[in-house]
Amino acid sequence: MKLYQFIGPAFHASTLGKAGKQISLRRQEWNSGCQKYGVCFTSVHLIASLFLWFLLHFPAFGNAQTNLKGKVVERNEEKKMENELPGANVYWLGGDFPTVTDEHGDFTIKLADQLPAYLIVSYVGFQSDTILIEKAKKIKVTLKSSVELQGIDITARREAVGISTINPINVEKISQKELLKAACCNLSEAFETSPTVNVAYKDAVTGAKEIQMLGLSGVYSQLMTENISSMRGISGIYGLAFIPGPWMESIQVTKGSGSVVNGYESTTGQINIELLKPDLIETPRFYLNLFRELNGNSEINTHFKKTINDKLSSILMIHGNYMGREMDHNDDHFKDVPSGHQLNLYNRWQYHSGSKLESQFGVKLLTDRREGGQLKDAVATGPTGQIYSTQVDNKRLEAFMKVGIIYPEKPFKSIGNIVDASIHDLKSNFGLKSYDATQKSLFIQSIYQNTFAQTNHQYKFGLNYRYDITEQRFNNQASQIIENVPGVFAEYTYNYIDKLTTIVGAREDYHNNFGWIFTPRFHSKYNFTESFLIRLSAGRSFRIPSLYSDNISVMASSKELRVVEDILPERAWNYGFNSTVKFVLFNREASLSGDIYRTDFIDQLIVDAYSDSSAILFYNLNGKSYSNSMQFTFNYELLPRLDVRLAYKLDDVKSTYQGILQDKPLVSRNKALANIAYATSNEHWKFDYTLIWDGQKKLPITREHAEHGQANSYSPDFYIMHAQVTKVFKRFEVYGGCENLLDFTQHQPVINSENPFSNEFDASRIWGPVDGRRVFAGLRYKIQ
Amino acid sequence: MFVLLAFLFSSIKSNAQIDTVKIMTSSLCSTCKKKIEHDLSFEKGVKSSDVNIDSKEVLVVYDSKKTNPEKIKIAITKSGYDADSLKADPKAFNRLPDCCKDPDAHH
Repeated sequence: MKLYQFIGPAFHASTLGKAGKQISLRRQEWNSGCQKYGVCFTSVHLIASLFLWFLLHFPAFGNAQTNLKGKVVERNEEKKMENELPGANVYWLGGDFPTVTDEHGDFTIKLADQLPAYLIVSYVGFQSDTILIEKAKKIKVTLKSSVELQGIDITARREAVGISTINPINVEKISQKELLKAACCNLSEAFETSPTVNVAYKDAVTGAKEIQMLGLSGVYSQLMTENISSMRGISGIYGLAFIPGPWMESIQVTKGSGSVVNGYESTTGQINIELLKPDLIETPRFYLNLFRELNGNSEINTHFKKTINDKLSSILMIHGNYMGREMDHNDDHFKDVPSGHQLNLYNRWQYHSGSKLESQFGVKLLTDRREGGQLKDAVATGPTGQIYSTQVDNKRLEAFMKVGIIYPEKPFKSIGNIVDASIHDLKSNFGLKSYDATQKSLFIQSIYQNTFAQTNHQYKFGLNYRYDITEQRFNNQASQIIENVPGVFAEYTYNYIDKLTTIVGAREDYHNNFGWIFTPRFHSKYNFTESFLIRLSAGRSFRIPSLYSDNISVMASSKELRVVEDILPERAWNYGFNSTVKFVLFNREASLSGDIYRTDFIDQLIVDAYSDSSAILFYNLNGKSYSNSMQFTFNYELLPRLDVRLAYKLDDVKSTYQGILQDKPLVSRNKALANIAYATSNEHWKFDYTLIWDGQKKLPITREHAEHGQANSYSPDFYIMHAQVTKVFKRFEVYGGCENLLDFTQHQPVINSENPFSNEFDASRIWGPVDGRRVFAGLRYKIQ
Repeated sequence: MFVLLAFLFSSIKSNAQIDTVKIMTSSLCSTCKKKIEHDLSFEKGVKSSDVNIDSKEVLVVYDSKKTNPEKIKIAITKSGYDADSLKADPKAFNRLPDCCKDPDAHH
């Protein structure tokens, strides 16, 4: 068929490619005709064109063979089966007549105007297939997953930190391989090799740690466990120590706003922790881990997996730790690390009906005690002859249930329901101050998702309800906060071939104390090629700050806590841009990712440690408060099994303190990270090394500075090194290493350590490591 | 001095005779592949191994001065898998996870 000869270029502009050259020649003839006669279309040509265009687009009128039918399948290496692939993109070379396979993997595409022509079948995560079509005969296309780059001899290994080119939302995945690079006793150590999330001690006495993302405190990142918001409120204060390392299967770190599905609170990002699942074959049947540090800290982890039948399975995970020794290597008579113990249990059941129903049930139980402060033999200067000590007791009970309804014939349609209930009890004291709180929470959510037309339009909508009752007492002031928040949300995802994916979401919640909250979120990803893409995101967040639980470290000082006015909820906008390139450098895989995020606060709780040296002031933001965060990450497989990561981050974080825009204290402007991981060819030996450089940080004012009329000072920059060696034996593996190899610690983490009950005492001015070098060793034994 | 050291090192490092062999196993899934490869890596003389999930064959690269195909096959049976005509050790087979024992078991 040589339709282009009769149909004018106006109708046929899209079918270029091989035919393009001939069309441009035709156009020349047309143009000369135009010039000669002054008319570009003659009526004959117009009618002929219309008629043939009709034939082409309405098969009923013309040749029945105007469509090409086919089926797309994926090859499943595991089960040696072929699975139908719904949602695969099918289009002609040049982008013509794009269509998508239905739930059976079948497609019907309008035939290209000229055969033979190339048909392209693609699906995100798979190698595209280009087929030369000569006639309209039904075809079958088999796609293979795109793990290996074509034509280059690269042994594909699981990338430890996955910078995705598939997900439109900027998600950094920390896999189990990455988690094993560090001692990783619990969640707070899980981010040692991640450039995006920083973890630091909140104070020098309690052992509490906090996360930092995009230059802002961890309270602005939403932490979730299995997509259920966790560590909110009271449980978030010490929460990082409550998820043991071996319990985690992977962590997904989302930068920027995140999806509306998870709520309105996430400002800088969302961190979702996936725990071990009993229905996966990768989860061992029995696991035992023993861990011991030179400073006396001992930990034990054990898992028992039970597969009852092919529908029901369960796992029981037990964690215990004990730290009895008092360590004081800087001779300030304060414990470097608090002593204490923890017992943590998790039992999870998973049920697959085989047809429509999927369900899960889980229970968590935790008890943790930490004692910090002065050593037993320190000189007691307290009013009743006591030493300065801190005690923190956490007790938690949580249960959750998930029920999902899936439609096997429609893989994109499902209904998910979650119910989660918890009680958390905290009792703590810091010298003469005390803080007790009990939080009871209930969370219910229902999400319906489906696609319409073809799978390039996906949508979700859902309802959720949150109830929290928090009773707290700070010294003698008791208060109760009740939150009752129902909400509704909707999210629409649009896919255009594999090039463009856009997610638009919105939610509306009604808060019993603050009224209607509208939260819009936007994410978009554009693939220039399969390995080069850009991402954009924008979204708004809403958060109710909690004076004490967000700022618990201020208790470890003698500063007065002064609340100047009624505190408003915090509202912020977050905008982000990310660019990721995957390429081959000297025959080896590499990736480079760059992003820039801006967070703009409209309302914020300002914790002012600047203006008054004897007090910490709490007031509402009056002026600008923002964070500009830029990060570059480079991952490279330098040699076989030798992975290198280099990252640099620049954080420009400022807030307005009593009318003056200043750098936020205790945030470094520059940070860099280098990580090298090597495994021998038989994988019997593994070596991991991390070097972190942390830049200068502005320090909060102290009484000394005020008296001497000094301006705010800065902390020095410093280096931290971690190293670990793992030896794999046939039935078990042994590992050992050192955290903070250089033994760098902050000079004077406790100000006025000789007089902790005086006005000048301050253990909250933390800018660097508080514990020194930590040498550890451990053993892992598992039955697969 | 360096020449002497180099000479010493070259004599210590024996001339390995690299050979390969393909053995048919009863591997059923990727867990089986990982286990066979892991266990074989501890066999004296085995340099590397690669199980093909589709064909169930394992390609073993070994030093023929230290081991031979017979020893390798015995090692595979001790892991709980068949090796060509040799049957898996029953005790080791029982210790395998369900998916590696029953081809119809849910993954």
